[in-house]
Amino acid sequence: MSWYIYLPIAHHSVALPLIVGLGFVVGLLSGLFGVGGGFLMTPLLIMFGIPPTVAAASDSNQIVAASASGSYAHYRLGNVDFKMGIFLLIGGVIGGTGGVQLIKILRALGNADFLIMITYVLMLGFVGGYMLVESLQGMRKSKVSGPVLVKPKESAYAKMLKSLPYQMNFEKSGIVLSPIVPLFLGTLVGVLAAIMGVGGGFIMVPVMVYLLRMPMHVVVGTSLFQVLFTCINVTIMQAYSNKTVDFILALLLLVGSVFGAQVGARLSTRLKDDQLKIYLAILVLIVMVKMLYGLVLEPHNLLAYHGGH
Amino acid sequence: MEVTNAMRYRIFILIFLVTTSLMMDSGLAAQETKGLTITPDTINVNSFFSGSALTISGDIKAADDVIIEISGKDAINNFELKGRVGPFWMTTGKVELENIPSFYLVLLPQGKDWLQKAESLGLGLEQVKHRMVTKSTAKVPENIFSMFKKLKKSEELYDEIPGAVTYSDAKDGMKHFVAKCNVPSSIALGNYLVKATIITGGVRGSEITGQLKVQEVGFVKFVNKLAEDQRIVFGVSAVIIALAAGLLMGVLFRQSGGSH
Repeated sequence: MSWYIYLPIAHHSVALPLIVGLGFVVGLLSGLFGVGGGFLMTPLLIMFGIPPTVAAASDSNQIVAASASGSYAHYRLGNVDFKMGIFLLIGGVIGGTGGVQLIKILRALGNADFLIMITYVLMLGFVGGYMLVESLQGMRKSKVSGPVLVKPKESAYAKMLKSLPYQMNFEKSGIVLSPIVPLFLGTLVGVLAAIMGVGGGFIMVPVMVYLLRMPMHVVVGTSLFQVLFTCINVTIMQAYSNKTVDFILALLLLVGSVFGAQVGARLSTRLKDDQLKIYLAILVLIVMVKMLYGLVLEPHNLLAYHGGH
Repeated sequence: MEVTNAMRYRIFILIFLVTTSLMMDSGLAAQETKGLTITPDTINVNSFFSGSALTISGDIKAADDVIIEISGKDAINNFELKGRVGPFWMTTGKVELENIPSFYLVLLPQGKDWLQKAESLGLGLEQVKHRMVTKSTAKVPENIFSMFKKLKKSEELYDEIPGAVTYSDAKDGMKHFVAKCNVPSSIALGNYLVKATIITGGVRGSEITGQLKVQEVGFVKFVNKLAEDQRIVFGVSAVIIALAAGLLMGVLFRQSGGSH
């Protein structure tokens, strides 16, 4: 029996265990942290010889499966804030549509790939660094101090949130907030996600934690719910516009990823919020360092296919 | 989530179609070309294709040698040139290379000096270099062809293989040659020219040509056709299957113990 399978759209032969294994690892991260995994899987697939456009589009397709599985698991655990998710999703669609137009302009100006990479490095560096420092401080405080008696001073950001109109109760997240905030932040994430070509989960999770002040376990489920719809849209658009969705590649990835997502969702309930944040921060920082390394290190060949093959 | 009978029926039909198409995928064909035997002369790209061994054989005079070239159609290729700007490496120019084959393999007889001999005879990668046309808005580096060759070699689409051609003992003033190589899975679909150049007394003599065809069959062909002709249906189907697989796994995990 051959362990190799030919991918009809990628026009490339791959080892079955390798692709299924990659799917499992990314599915695990998806269920554990609520990130789609696109920011990890796409570079890995490219590394194994899959053309970048096919890698990104097919990855979106497998994320549909992983996030559907993960969302369902979190829904059963009561970890999905549908009300918040829908507001973020509406913003994400608006931002994503605008972002697609923006990327067209960037490509026309030239060096769009470099701009995308440097945006990744800055975003990942900022998000990962902030999460790591904040979580480590949180863990240290909980070890050192007993019950906190002094009520912390309300920040300007918190005051601003309270002053916004149409305050609404998001019961599942336990917060009262104007829907303008998730709509606005969803739009911003949508723009970034479109530029970077990913579902946006790894940006959305810190936004929910730090800017929307949602509890981490609800964040994971709600993020998966949002990523699911973003990737459904991307898959259909890529299949229609670019014919880059490799059905077989996505199927192989999702075989591993649906199992991984279930395992990840269960593991996430056994970890503390700060632990989850630290692991995600480390993961984000590793990817950032890898990308930065790629930008400053001389390429092994100074000639590359236009548009990434 | 309830798995309805209609859903089970659709999943069963899909699995049946995929399995049947995979089973229908056929192997390799072989056919003799006049003067040059190419085995197989048609490479069928099926679901388990991971490249193919290729054998080219024929008969030449006992004193002669032969060099085999396998080349794809000429194409225009657009590339980006990378350069250092501050601490970063980024695209500093674009270059268009014309009159270069999409695929090029040169199979040489045994012996260290055949690479140089082929070059002096106007065969091999050097002849690709000479007929390549370069167009660029930026300054083109002198070693552009080396960079191009390195890129193609990394994809296994260009190569020069000394020792790939072997001869049998001479009989009645003739000898049989056999050239062997591997065709990578990244080869594009289409027709390829197989050319055997006879070297007589150190100079280029007659040429024998044949054709190699690379075609997709079975499930691979079905998927590509659907993706091309029914794009929306293809995209929506991919989403539905992904959703079904994800939710199905969710249900199965719940039934196998759940996470509550």
